[in-house]
Amino acid sequence: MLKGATQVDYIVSAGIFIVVFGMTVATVTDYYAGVSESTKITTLRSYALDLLDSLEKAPVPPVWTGTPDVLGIGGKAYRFAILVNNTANNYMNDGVTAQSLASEIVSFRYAEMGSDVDVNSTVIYNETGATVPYSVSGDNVSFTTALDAGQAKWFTVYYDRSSNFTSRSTSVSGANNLTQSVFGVEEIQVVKYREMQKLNGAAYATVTVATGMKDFYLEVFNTVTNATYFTFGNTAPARGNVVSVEKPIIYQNATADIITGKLKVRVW
Amino acid sequence: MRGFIYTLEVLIAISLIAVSSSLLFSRVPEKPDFVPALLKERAFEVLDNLYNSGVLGLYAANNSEPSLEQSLLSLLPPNYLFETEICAESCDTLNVPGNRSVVSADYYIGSYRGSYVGKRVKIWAWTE
Repeated sequence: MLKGATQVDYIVSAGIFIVVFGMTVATVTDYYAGVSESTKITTLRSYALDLLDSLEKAPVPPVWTGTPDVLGIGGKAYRFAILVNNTANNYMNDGVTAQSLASEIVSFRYAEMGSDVDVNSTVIYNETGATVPYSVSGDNVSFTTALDAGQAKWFTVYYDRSSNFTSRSTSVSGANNLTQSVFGVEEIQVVKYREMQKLNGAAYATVTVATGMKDFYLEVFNTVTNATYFTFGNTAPARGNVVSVEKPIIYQNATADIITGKLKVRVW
Repeated sequence: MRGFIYTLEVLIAISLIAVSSSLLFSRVPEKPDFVPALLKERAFEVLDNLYNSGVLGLYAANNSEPSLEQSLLSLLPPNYLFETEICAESCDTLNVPGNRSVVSADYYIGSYRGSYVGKRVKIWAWTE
C-alpha cells in the first residue's frame, strides 16, 4: 500500500515537472523568436531605406554596361526662371510706349549662362504649368508669348546635362521687342528617364548579384494621373516579411517633362 | 513519507525553475521604435520635394502657409499630422501639441527668382 502511494507521488511529480519544463521551453523559444523576427524586419527596413536613398542618386559608376555596382536612377537637373515684362523700360527701342504684343520672341543662349547642357533636355513651363513650344538653333533657345501692355510673365526652364531625349524643337515666329530677365540656375534632384531606361534593359538577377541586393521591387508612380510609370524587380511574395517604403520625387518622362511622383521600394 | 519528500523536492526544483525563468524572460524585448526617425526623414523629404517642384520658394516668398499645408496634405500619409510655419529666426509653436512626441524639420530658402527671401520653412510632425 505504502509502495503504491510512493509510485503515485513520482508520477504526479514527473507530470508537474514536464508541464512546467514545457512552459519554460515555450517561453524561452518565444522570447528568442521575437528578437529574431524584429532583427529581420529591422534589417529589411534598413535595406529598403538604403535602396530608396540610393535610387534617387546617380548610379555608380555613372556609365555602366550590364549592371551598375550601386543602383541609382536619379541625378541632377537644373532650372532657371525668365521674366518677360511688357513695360516701356523693357523695350529694346527707346521712347516706345508699351503695347500689346501678340507674339513676342523670348530667347536665351546656354553658352552665355556658362552651362554645359544637353539642349534636347530643355523643357519650358509657363506660370500655369503648361509646356511652351520652343525652337533650338545651336545652343540658342527661342519661344514666343503674347503679352498685354504692362503685363509680366514668368517662365521656368528645366534642363539636364546628359540625356537621351530627342529634339523637341519646333519653328516659332514673332518679333523681338523686349529684353527679358534670366535668373540664376538652381540645381535639383530628379529621377532621370535615361537611367530608368537603362535599368529597364538590365537583367534583374544580374543586378541583384552585382549590387549585393536582396530581392526587391521598385516603382515610379505618377501622383498626378495616379498611374505607375516605371517598375523594375521581382514580384513580392504573398507570405513572409516584406518591407515597403516610399518617398515623394520628381521625375523626367520620355519627353523630358518634369512630373511629380513617388518612388516606392519593396524589399524581402 | 519518502515519496512525500521526493514530491517536495520536485516542487522546490520546479518553483526555482519557474521563478528563474519568469525573472529572466518576463521582460519582452522592446521592438525598436522607427516612427520618430521615419517621421523626421519624411518631413524633410516632403519639403525637399516641394523645393524641387519649384513651389516651396514661392510659398516662402509669399508667406503662404495655407498653400504649403495644402501641398503637404497630398504628400504626407493621412496618419501623419503636422503644423508648419514660415518664419525667420524664431518660429511660433502655436498649434503644436505639448503632449505628443513631435519631430521637426527645417528648410531654408535664401532667394526666389532673384529676390532675397531669407526664410525658414519649419514643419512639426507627429502621428495620430
